Amino acid sequence: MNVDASRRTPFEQHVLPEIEVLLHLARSLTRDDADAEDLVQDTLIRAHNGIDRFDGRHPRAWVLTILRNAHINRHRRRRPELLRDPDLTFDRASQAAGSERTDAFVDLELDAELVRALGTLSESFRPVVDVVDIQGLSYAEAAEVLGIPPGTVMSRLHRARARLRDRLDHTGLAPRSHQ
Amino acid sequence: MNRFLRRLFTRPSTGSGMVDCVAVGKVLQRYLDGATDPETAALVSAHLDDCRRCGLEADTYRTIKAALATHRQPLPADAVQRLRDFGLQLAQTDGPNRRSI
Repeated sequence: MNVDASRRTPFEQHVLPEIEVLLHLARSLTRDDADAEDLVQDTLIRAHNGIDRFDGRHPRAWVLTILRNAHINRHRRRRPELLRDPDLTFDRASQAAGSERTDAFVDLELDAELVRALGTLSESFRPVVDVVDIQGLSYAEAAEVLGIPPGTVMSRLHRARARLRDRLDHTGLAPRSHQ
Repeated sequence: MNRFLRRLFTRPSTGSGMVDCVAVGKVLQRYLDGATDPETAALVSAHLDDCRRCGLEADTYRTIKAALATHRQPLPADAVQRLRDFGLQLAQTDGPNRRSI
């Protein structure tokens, strides 16, 4: 008898498609490629072990919660400053300039200032910006991975962006009308 | 639209003849994130077309969001493949308490 059939199918169906999202977030949380890969492996093991208790609804939210708990249990040791390497900043801006995005301009000076401004955000604000605006999660998904209510995600995110906006305003880099 | 926002959006306008800037400011970021209901989105969109100050505010947030999105780094393909292989191996195991494969 194949005793594993009922477990394997949901695991493959619900968990394995989320590997890339998990790895993006793990890299965001750990700031280290090797640690991120280990964290996702740990998450996959926990998800596999717990798949019998999963009700099949909202699989991404479920695995994000597992990732968060796994991360907490791994005793986060450090969180290096985000994107401080100016060469990385230049590379990313260059990649963006070569992309097909047309909804906004990417200005190297603005990008550099934004990186500096990110570095000034507190530990309660920066992770929210990271998972929503950089990693692309929804408010609800961010709430799952950060372990805070969706309303808190929104308020922190909006306040963080307001601070970034103020910084850009202060340095004269915010968009201005042409008159 | 909730009652608080409805009151903000329906109180007498002070300048543009449409919803006022305070009401738009309350929901602007949610609007830009696509997290408002269609009714609110339509009101905000109309206001942004009409109000220079709020339009610039929206442009600033759009610029910030777009710039931040460029910082999402591509995943290393080898790591993704290793994790997929790991997951598939896990899927082949038959016990809920296995901690290594």
